[in-house]
Amino acid sequence: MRFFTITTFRNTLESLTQKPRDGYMSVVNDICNALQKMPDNILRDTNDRVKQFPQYRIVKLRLPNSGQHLPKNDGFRLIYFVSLVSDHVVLLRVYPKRGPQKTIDLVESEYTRLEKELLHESESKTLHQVDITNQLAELSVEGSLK
Amino acid sequence: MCTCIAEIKETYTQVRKQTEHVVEQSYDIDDFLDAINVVKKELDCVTDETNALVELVRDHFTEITVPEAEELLELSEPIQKKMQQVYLNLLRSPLRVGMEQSVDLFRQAMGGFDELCHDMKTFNIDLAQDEEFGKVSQMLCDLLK
Repeated sequence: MRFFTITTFRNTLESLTQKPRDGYMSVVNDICNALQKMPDNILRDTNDRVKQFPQYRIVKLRLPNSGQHLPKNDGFRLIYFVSLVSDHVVLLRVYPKRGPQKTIDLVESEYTRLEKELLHESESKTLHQVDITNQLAELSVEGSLK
Repeated sequence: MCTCIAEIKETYTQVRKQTEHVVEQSYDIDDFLDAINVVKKELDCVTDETNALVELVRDHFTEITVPEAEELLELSEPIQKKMQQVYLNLLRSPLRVGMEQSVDLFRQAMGGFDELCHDMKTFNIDLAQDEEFGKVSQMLCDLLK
């Protein structure tokens, strides 16, 4: 599988890791650990999937916050897009369930906005490809779903 | 005869009374601990059943239709209210000290159930009927074809 990010994901990640005292410094590790442990079929068929179309799925993955020793119920939520017809996985958004930046849950308009952003960045070939085995290090900034 | 015998006997009496009082209190403590165990056992049971329910629904989440989601949300509402009531009662209760971990696991299960209900409303009802989301999703599907 190839992993990509959109601007919203990168911005929220930056915001979460700006202040160590907020308790979110493990977020990159927690994301990478979870994704590395998931074989391709589980990435697509996890029971955390929330929206399904013939060509893709939207998954809301529940992750622990290992830095704060919080279980997955109280940890992070990673929203990602996974293609069923290609090897694309796009990380759309991450948010914590606890702490100063906690988000209760996203409303419907936010999901529409995330899909629009994905579509736009794919068409303009500005998806960033990242390496989940190397702390989400950027591999390329010219990605698209094609 | 010892001149202090009266004082000694009086002290004996005081110690006996105090011991009896402690024995009575220890029965109360036993009752209190029994109550904690009963509530803890039932609370753990509710927590396990709630977690199992959440996972069952998650397993079939994307197959649930709009009317089915509406029906499930209707069934969920009284459960959510009762769980909140139980949690608030436990926070105020002295029984809580004896089962901190169970209360925390119950809180997590309650949070998981609330999140499931929120997701069901967002994904299975609101987004399923949202024309704009439908259009964007169709465009994404077309792009991937």
